[in-house]
Amino acid sequence: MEKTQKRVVTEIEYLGMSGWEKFCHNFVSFFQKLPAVFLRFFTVTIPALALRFWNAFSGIFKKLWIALKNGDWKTRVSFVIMGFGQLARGQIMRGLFYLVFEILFILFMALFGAGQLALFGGPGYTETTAGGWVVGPDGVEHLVPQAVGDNSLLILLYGILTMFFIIAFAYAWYCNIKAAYSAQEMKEAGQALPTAKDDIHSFADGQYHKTLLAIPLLGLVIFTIFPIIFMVFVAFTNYDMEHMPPAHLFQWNGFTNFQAVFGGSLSGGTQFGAVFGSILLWTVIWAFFATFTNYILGMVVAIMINKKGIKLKKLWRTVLIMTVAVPQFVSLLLMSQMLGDYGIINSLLQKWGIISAPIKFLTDGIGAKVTIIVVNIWIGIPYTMLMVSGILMNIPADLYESARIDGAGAFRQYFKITLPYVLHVTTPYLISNFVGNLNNFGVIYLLTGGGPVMTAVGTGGAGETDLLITWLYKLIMDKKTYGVASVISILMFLITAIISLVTYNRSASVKNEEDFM
Amino acid sequence: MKKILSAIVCGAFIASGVVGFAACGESQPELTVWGPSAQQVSLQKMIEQFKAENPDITYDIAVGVCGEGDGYSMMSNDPQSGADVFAFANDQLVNLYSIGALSPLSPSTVTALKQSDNATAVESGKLGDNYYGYPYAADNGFFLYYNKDIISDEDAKDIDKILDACEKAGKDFIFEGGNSWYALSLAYGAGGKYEVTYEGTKVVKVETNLDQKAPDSDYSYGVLGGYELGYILQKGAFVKTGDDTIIDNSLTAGTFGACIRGTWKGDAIKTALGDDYGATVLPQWTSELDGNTYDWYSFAGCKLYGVNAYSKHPEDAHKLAAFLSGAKMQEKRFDDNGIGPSNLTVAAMPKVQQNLAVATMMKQIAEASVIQTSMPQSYWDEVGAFGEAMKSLDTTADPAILQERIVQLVEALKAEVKTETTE
Amino acid sequence: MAKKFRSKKAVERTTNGVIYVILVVISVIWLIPFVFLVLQSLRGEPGATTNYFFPKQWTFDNYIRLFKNEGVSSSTGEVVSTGSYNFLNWYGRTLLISVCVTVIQTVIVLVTSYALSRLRFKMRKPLMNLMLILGMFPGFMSMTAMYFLLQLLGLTQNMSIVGLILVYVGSSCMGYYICKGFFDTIPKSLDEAARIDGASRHTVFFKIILPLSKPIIIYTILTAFMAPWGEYMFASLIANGDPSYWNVAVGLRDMIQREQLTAYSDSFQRFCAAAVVVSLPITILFFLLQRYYVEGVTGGSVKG
Repeated sequence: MEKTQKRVVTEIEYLGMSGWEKFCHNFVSFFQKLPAVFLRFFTVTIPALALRFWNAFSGIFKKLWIALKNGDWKTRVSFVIMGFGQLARGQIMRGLFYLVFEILFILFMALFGAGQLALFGGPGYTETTAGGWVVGPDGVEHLVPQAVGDNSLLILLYGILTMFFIIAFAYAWYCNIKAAYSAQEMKEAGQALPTAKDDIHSFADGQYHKTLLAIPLLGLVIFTIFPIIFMVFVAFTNYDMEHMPPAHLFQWNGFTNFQAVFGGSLSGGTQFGAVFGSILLWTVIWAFFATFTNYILGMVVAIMINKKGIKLKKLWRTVLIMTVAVPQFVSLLLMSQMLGDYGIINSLLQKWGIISAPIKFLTDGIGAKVTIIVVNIWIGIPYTMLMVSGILMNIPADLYESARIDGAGAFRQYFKITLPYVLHVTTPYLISNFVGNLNNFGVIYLLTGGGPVMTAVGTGGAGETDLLITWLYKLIMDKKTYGVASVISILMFLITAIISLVTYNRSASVKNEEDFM
Repeated sequence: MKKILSAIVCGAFIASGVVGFAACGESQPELTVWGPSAQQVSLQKMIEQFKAENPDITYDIAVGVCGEGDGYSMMSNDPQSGADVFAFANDQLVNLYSIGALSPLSPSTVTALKQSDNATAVESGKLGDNYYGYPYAADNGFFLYYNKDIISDEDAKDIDKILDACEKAGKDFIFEGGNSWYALSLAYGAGGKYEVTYEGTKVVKVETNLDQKAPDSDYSYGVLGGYELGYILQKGAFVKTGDDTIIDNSLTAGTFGACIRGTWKGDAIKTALGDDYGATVLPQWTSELDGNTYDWYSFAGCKLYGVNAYSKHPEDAHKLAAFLSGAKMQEKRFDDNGIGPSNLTVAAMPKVQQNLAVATMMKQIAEASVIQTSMPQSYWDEVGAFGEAMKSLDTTADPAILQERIVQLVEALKAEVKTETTE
Repeated sequence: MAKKFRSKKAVERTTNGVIYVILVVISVIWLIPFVFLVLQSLRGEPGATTNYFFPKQWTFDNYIRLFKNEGVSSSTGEVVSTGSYNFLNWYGRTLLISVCVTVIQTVIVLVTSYALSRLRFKMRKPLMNLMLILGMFPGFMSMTAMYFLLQLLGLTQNMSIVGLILVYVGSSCMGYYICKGFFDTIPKSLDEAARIDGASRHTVFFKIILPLSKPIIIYTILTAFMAPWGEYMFASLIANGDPSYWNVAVGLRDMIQREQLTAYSDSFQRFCAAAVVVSLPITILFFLLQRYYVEGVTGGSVKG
C-alpha cells in the first residue's frame, strides 16, 4: 500500500488492486491532484470560458449586422417593431407574442423603470427631513409630518429589477430579429414556414426542455439570482447603521468595503483579522468532523441494522427516522435546554451522584464545540443510515459469496467490498454534505447561538462556536453592516462555489453520468 | 396505498383551506400597536378603552407582538410598515431615531410629562433638543432577592455574608455576572463611569475612567470590579450563572438562596418563598484587593412608547401613545403585569409601594444606579467578552494582568469613535 | 469440522447479541428527546423546567388550553385567554402553505430533473453547475431583497400565505440532484423504444418515466412537505409582528420567550404540546411511506 502511493501506478497495477486499494489510491491521488486542478481551473477553465463568452457575444453582433445588411424591409422593420417580420409572413402567433412583449416593455419603462434608473446613480438623492410640531394660528399645536425622501434601498432594488427587464427585452429583441431573418431566408429558399401548430408541437418535443424549464428557471432568477445580484450591488455601497433607508440615503462607495475586509480595518471589533481567522478555522474543523462523524457512524449503524440475522429491521429504522419528523428547531431548542448547565441531564447526573459540578456542555468553548458535533451526529445519522441501507441492499450478493469462498472474514469483507462500494457511490453526497456543513446555520444558531462569546478584547461579540455564516448573521442583525457583510458573503460564496465545482465535476459518479444509461 | 395517500392529501387540502382562508378577507387595520407578548391581552383591553374614549376614531387598531428589547430589530426591517405606536427600551433611542422611526413629542406634552412623570424617565427619551418617547415604566434594572429563612435582613447588606449563608445552607446564589448587562455593575459601584456622547446618531465621544485608579486604592475601578466579579462567580458550585430558568429551577427544587435580578422575577420568587420572600437593594462588597467597602450599582432603564414618524395618522398615534402611557394605564399595567410605573402619582400609591419588588427597584434606581443610555453595540460586545473572561479569572494572579485587560477594554470601547469621515 | 461449525455459530450469536445491545442503546438515546417532549406536554405542574424526568401530575390540559387559545398567565397563575394568538390559525396556515408547496415543488423538481437527465441541450452542463453553486449563497442575505420584492407585489402581511409559498418554491429547482440521479438509473432504452414508436418527449415523460418513479415522487413529496413547518426567519419577517399572520414555527418560538417562561406559566408545556401536534402529520406520513422514502433516497445514488 505505502509503496503504491509514492510512485506512479500503471494501469495494469491499478486493475490488479483490490477494491479497497483502488479506493485508497483514488483517494490519495484525488488530493494530490487537487492543487493542479485548481491551477487548471484558473489558468485554463476561466480563460476558456471568457473566450467562449466573447465569441458568443461578438457572434450576436455579427448576426445582427448580417440581418440588417441582407434583410428585406420586413426584416428591417422588425428592428423597430418587434414581431413585424413574423406578422408580415403569416406567423401570427409568434408575431403577436413579440409585439405584445415590446408594448409591455415600453409601458413598464415609461411608467416605472426609467424613473428608477434615473435615481440609480445616488442611489436616490433626496434626504428625508424630520417633522416637528408647530403652533398654528388657532393656537393649537399641529404635527408637520416628516417629508419622506428617496429610499436608496428600493431604488437599488427596483433599478436592478429594471435591468433584468432590459436584459430580457434585449434577448427577445435579438431572437425576434434572428427569427425574422431566418424566416426570410426560408421563404427565399422556398421552404414552408413553421405554423403555430408546428411551434406548439416543437415545445412538446424538440424544444421540450424550454417548456419544462421555463417556470423553474423563472423562479430561480426571481428568488435566487435576483437577490444575489442585489447583494453584490450592496457590497459597493456604504449601507450600514448610519445609512439606513428610508431615513437616510446610502451612497456608492466603490471598493471601500473590500479594502476594509482585506485591510482588516473594520468596526466589527478591533481584532477583525484574528477573529475572522479563528472562525474560519473552526468552520473548516466543524465541517470536517460534522461530515465524517456522521458518515462513518451512520454507515456503522446501517451495517448493523442490515446485518443478516438481525431482526426488527423496520423498527430500528423507524426509531431513527422519527428524529426527522419533529421540526429541527423544536428538537434543537429542546436539546439546548436539556444540555444547559442546570438542565435536566446535569440535574439527573448530579442527583445520582455521578458528577459533583455541572458539565459545561454548552458554556465552555471546547465543550460546546464537542457537544455541537455530537448533537449533529444525533441529527445526521438517520439520513446517512437510510442512504447507506439502500446501497447495502444493492451490493450484488455474489461479491460476498466469492469473497467467502476465498476465506475472507467479516472484517476483510467489509474493507474489501462494502466500504469501497459505498464510498464510490456516495462521494458526491460526501462533498455536498461537506459544503453544506460549511454553511450549516440552523444547528449552531439554535443550539448555542454561537456562544459562549470569545473572551478576548476586540472580538466584537463573536462566539467560540460561531461559523462564518452565523457570525455574518450577527454582523447584519446587531450591527447592520450590510455593505461589509455582503463582501464577506461574496467571498464565502466564491470559495465554496469553486471548491464544490472543482470537486464535483471530478468525482467519478458525476464524470461517468452517462454510464448509468 | 394510493387511496390512503390521496385521502390524506385531499383531507389536508380541505382542512387547511377552511382554516387558512378563515383568517383572510378581514379589513386592514389603519393603526398598529406593538407590545410585548406577555402584555397582549391587557394591551387589547387598553385599546378598547381608548376607542371608547375617542369616538371620532372609527378605524381598526391592531395589536402586534414585539418585545421592548426587540423594538429596533423589528422596526429596522421596514420602518414604513412597522407599527404606528410601539414599546421600546430607552437604550434603543439613538438606533430607532437613526432609522427615522421616532416622531417627536409636542412641547406641551413634554411640559406635562415633566410634571407627572419621573424626571429620569422623561429625560431618557431626549435626543438633541427633542423628546421622542412617552415613558410608561421605570423598572429596568436589578437588585437582590433573598430567602429570609437563611439570610437575615442585616446579612443581606453584605455580599460576603450572603455568600457564606448560601454556602452553609447549601442553597443557590444566582447571578448572571458574565452577561454584559451585569458585568460592570460592581465596577460602577466602586465609582467607575462610562459615558457616550452622540452628535445626531454618530458617536463623537466615549469617556470612561475604568482604567484609572480609585481614590484610596492602588487599583483601578475596572480591576476592583472585575476582580470581585471573578471572585463571586468562582466562589463555588452553589453560585449559579444563567438565565431565568435557573431561578425557576432553583425555586421548584427548593434550593433558592438569593439572586440578582429585575422586577419581572418578583412574583415567581414571592409565590415560591411565601413568608421568607425578601428583596432589597444590591449589597455592599469588600474588595479582597484593598480591603475597602464599595457599593454595587444597578443599571437604570425605562420603557417608553414611541410614535412611528412614518405613521399614516401621526396625530392619532400620538394621542394613543399618550393614552397608553398615562397614569390610568400605568396603574392597570401594574395591576395586570406588575410593571413598575414611571408616573409619580401611580408610583406613590400604597399598592405600588407595598409591592416589594417594584418598590425595591425604585429605591435601587434612586440610590445606587447608573443610567443605561443608548450604548453602541460595541459596548455590549466588549463588556460581554470581559464578563465571560472574568468567569475564569485567575484570582491568584497579579492584578496587573487584570489591569492590562481593563486598559484593552477601555481602548476597545473608545474605538467606537470614528475619526475619519467617509463623506 | 462440527466443532468449528459450532464455535462459528457461537461467535455469530455473540456478535448479534452485541449488536442488539448497541441498537437498543442507540434507540433509547434517539428517543429520549421525543419522550421528554411528550412527557413535558403532559405535565400538570406549572413552571418552565423541572429537575426530574417524569411529570408528577399527568394531564391533557396543556393540549386543551392550546386549542382553546388559553394559557396560564405568567404573572398571576390564572388561566386567561391568549388574545390574538390562535394556534389553529397558525396550524391551518402552515398546513395550507405546506400542501401548496408540496404540490408545486414536486412538479418543479420532477420537471427539472427530467429535463436535466433525459434531454440534451446546449446549456445543460452550465445550468447544472449554476444550480449547484447558487444554493451556497447565505440565505438570510437575500431576505431583505425578497421582502421588498414581495411588498412590491403586495404579498406581505394579509397575503403572506401566497408570499411564503412563492419564496419556498421559488428556488426549488435547485433540489434536482437526488431526483435526477433516480431518473438516470431508469434505462434509456425504454425511452428510445417509445420514441421509435413515434412518442414525443412529452409523452415519454408522462407515460413512461413518471409511472416508474413512484419512490422518488414520494420522497420529493415528503421532503417538500416537511420544510415549511420549521421555517421561522422569513415567516416572522413577512408577518411584521402581527400574530394572525404567523406560522407554527413563529408562534412556537414566541411561546418560549423569556418573559413567557415563569414559575407559573404553562408556556413551555403548551410549546411541547404544540410541537407534538406539529410532528404528528409528518410522523404519520413517514410511517406510511417509509419504504418509498428509503427507495427514493437510495435509488438516486446506487448502481453507480
